[in-house]
Amino acid sequence: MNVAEEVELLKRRIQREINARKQAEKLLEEKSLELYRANEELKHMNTSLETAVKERTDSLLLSEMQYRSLIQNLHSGVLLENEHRKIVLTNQIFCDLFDIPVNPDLLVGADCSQSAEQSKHAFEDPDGFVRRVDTLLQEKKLCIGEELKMNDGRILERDYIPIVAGDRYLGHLWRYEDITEQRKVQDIIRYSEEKYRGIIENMELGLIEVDNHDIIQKVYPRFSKLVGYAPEELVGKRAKEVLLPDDSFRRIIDEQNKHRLSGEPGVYEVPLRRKDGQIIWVIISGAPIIEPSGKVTGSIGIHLDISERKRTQEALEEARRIAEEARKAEKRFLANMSHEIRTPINGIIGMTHLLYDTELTVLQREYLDAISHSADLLLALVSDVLDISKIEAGEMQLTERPFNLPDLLNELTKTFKLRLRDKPVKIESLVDTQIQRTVMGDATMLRQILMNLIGNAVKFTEKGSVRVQVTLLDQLGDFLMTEVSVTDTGIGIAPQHLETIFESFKQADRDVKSKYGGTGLGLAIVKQLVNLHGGEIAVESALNQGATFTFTLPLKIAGDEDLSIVDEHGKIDSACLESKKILIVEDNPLNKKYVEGLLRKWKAEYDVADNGLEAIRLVEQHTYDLVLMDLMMPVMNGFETTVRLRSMKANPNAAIPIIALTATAFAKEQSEAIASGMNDCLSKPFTPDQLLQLLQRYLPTPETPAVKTGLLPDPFNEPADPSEPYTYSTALDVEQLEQFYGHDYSYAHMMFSLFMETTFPELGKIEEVIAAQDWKQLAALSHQFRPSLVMVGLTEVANTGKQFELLLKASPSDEQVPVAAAALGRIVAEKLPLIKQEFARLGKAIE
Amino acid sequence: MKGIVFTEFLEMVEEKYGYEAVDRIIRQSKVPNDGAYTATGTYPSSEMHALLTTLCNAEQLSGDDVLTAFGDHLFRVFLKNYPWLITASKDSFQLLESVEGTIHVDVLKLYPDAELPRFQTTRLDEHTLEMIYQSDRRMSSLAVGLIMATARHFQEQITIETESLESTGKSVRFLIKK
Repeated sequence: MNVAEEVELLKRRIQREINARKQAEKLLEEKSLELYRANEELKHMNTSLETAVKERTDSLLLSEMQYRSLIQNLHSGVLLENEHRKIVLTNQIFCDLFDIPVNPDLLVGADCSQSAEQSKHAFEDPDGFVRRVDTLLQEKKLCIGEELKMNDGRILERDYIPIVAGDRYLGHLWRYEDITEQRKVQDIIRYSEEKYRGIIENMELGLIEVDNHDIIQKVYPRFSKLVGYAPEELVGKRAKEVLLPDDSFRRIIDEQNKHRLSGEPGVYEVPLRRKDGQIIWVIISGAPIIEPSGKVTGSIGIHLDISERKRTQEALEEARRIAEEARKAEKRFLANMSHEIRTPINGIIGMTHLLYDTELTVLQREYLDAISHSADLLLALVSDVLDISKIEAGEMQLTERPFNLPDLLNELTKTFKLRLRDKPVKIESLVDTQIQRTVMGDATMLRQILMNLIGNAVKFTEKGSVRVQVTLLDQLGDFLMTEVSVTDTGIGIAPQHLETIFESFKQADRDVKSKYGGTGLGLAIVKQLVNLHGGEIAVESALNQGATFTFTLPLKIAGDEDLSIVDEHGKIDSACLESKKILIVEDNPLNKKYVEGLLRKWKAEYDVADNGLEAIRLVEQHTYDLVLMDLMMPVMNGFETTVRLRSMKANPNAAIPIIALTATAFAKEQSEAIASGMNDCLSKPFTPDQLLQLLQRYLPTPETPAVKTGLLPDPFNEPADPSEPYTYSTALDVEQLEQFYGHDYSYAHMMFSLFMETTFPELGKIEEVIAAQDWKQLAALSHQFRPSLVMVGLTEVANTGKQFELLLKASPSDEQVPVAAAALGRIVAEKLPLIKQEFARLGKAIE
Repeated sequence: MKGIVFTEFLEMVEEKYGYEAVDRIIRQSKVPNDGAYTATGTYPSSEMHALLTTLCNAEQLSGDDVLTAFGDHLFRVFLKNYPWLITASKDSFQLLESVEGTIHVDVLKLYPDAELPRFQTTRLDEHTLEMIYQSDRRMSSLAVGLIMATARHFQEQITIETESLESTGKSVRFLIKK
C-alpha cells in the first residue's frame, strides 16, 4: 500500500470517526433536551404533589381536629390505644371517671399495659375487672354495653371496640359512661310500673288486652277468675266469640272496636258467659292501646262485675213498677170510693128528707136532724177530700177564660143572701171601678174560693155584715194584680189559731167544730186554690173582732172580644167522616140528638146505644170506626163498657178509638177514662168544632184533608141564607147557642123541636113538685133537665136549678128552701114561653 | 440495532484483519453514511447483515463462526465496561439465568429502544441448564459465543447442544452441560 492510499484510508477513517462523533453529539443534544423536558415535567409533578400533600395534610389535620373535638366532647369517657397499648387519645370525661388528675392531652403516648391493675380497686370486683380486660384484649372482639359496678356506687357502662384495618390490628378504643342516673330513672320507672301492675292485678277489675282483630293477647289473673277460664284458654281466641252470649251483644263489641281503632275510649255494659255457662253482667271500660308512633295496636278492656248491681236494679225496677201500680190502684180506688160513697149518702139524705114528711115525735125529729146534719157533713167532707186530693195530685188545672167579675160576685152574694135572711147580717160586694168588667181568669176556681170564704164568714157571723171587696193593686200592660178581701164582723179567731188556720183539718178549736160543723178542709182548699192561681192569702183577726181574709188574684184584661166568641164554624173539614161508622153511647136524649144531628150533617153513619150493655150488644153485631162514650150511664157506665170492649179480643172493634164524653173538666176523670182504655176525652157541653177536631184526629182519611179544606160547603152555613142572619133572643144564652149550632138554624130548630117534644111537657112537673113542696124531687128534676136546658139556651134556668140543688145539699133552714124553689119556679115560668117563641121564630126562619 | 453492536463488530474486524479490512467491507457493503457508527446510536439490522455477509465472503468464513467469535469479543467488552453485571454471579449458570431477569432489565434502562432477544432458562439438574433463545435477528450463534465466553470466564468446561425449535432459526434451544 502506498502512502497516498494510506493517507486516503486514514482520511476516510477520520471522516468516519468525525461522522460518528457528530452522530453521538446529536444524540447527546437530543438526550439533553429529553432530559430537560423530563426534568421540567418532574418539577411540575413535584409541585402538584406538594400541593396535593399539603391539601391532604390540611384535610387530615381538620379531620383530626374534628375527631378529637368529637371525642373530647363526647358524653362518654374515651381511651384510644394503639397496638402497643400506648395512649393515642383520651378525653376529660375519661380522666374524671377514673379520677386521673392530669390533662388528657398529657396522657398521649403513655403506656396502658398496667392500667387495669392500677385502677381495679375502684371496682366492686377488682379481679373480675382485670380478668375481663385481659380476655377482651386477647379475643379482640367487639363488646358493647357491659356494666361495671364501682365501689362508690356508680355504675359504668363499657364498650370495647377493636380497630382493625384489613387483617391488621391497629389498637382499640375503650368507651366508659356513667349510667348511674339513667339506671336510677330506670329503676324508678320499673318500680312505678311494678306498683301500677300490682294495683291493677289486685283491683276487683278484670283486664284483658286484645289486638285490632279482637284476638285476645293477654289475660290478667282477675279477669281469668271473673270468667272462669284459664288465661291460656283465652289467649289467641276472638274475645266476642268466647265470651259473649249472643249476636246482639257481639254487634255492640264490633261497634266499640271500631271506636277503638280511631283511638276513642268507651264505656258500655254487656253480659258475659262464664266457662260454667253462668251469665254475668260487666261494665267494660275500653281504651285503645296506642304506640308511640300513634298507631292503634289494639285495646285494653277493664271489666267490672256488676251482676249484683244489675240484680238489685232489676229488683228496684220491679218494686217501682209494683209501687206505681199500687199508686194507680189507690187513685182508682179513691175515685171510685168517693163516687161510691156519694151514692149511699145521697140515699141517706133523700130518705132523711122523706122521713121529715112523716109523723115525728119531737125526739125523733131531733135524732133525724142529727142524721141529716151528719150526712150533709159527710157529703161535704167527701167532696172536700176529693178536691184536696185532686189539688195535691196536681190534677186541678187552671182554665183561663173571659168572665164577668161583677156578675160573679152578684151571683154569689145573691146565693148567700138566702142563707142570711134570718140573721141581722148584711152582705155586699164592691168591685174597684178601675177593673174592667170582663177579665181573663179561672172563674170556676174563683167561685170555689169565694164560696168557701163567704160561707165561713156567713157561718161565723151572727150580726153585722159580710163584705166582699175587689181592689186593683197594680196594672202592668194586660196584667192586673187585684186583691180580694172577705171581711166579716163575726166571732173572730184567737191569735194562737191564726197560724194553723190554713192547714188541713185545723179548725180554730173543738168548740167551733161542735158548734159550727164543717170539715176543716175549707181553708186548706182555699189556700191551695189561691196559690194555684198565682196568689197569696192572709188573714187578719182577733177574738170577737171579726175577720178579714185577703188574697191576691192575678187577672188579665180580656181585650175587646168581651164574652162573644169568634165563630169559627166551618173551618174544619168533615170529609174524613164520610162513610165512617160511629157508635154513640149516651143516655141523655138531648145530648144524644145533638151528636146525632152533627154526625148526620157530616155524613157519618152511626148507631145509638142508651147504655153500656146495649153498646156491647151492638159491637158484637157490627163493626165501628169509633165510639163516643158517655161516662155516667145507668145499667153499665162508660168505664166498665170500655174495659169490656177492650177485652173482647176476637172482636174487630176491640181496638177502635173510644172518645169519652165527660160531664166535668177535671183531669182526674179524664185520666181515669184514659186508664180504662179510652183514647181521648171531650167535656160536655162541647161545640161541633171540638167534636170534629177529635173525630178527625182519630179517623184518618186516605185523602189529604188540606186539599179539601175550604172547598167543601160549610155544614153549618149550608142551609142558611147569609143575607138574612137569624138572631137568637137575647133572653136566651146566645153565645152558647151559637157555639152549639153556628148558623145552622135548621139544626137548632131540630134541637128545639126535640126539646119541645121531650123536655118541655115534663117541665110542668116542676110547678107540681113545688106546690107539693117535694124539694128532693125538685132537685132531682132540676138535675135531670139541666143538660137539656143548656142545649136550648136556658143556661140561667139550669144554673138556678143547680143552685137549688146545692142549697138543698147544704143543710138549709126550713125557710130557705121554699124561697129558692119559688125562685126556680119563677124563672122556669118566665123563660118557658121564650122557648116556645124561639121555636116558632126558628121554624119561620128556616122555611 | 444498537450502535454498540456495529462499533464492536468493526472493532473486532480491525483487531483481526486491520483497518484496511474494515474500510473494505464498509465500502463493499455500501452501507449508508460510509460506516460511521456511534455506540449509543441505533441503526437498521440490515446494515449489520450486509457488513457480516461482506466479511464472510471476503475472508471465506461462515456466518455462525463469525458470530460466535463476535460473541466472545462482546463478552470481553462487557467484562471490561460493565464488570458488575458479570461479577455479581458466581458461576456461568447463575449468570446465564440472570440475563433475562437482571442484565436485560438494566440494558433497557440505558437503551429503552433496544431490541433484545428473549431467554428462558430451566435448570434441568445440577449440571444441566436448558436455555431457549428467541429473536427475529436469528443470531443464536452470537449467543453461543457469549455462553462459551462466560464458561471460560468462570473457568468451567461446558458443552452446548443446539437444537432449532423451528426452521427459521428464530427459536433455538441450548442444552448446556458442565
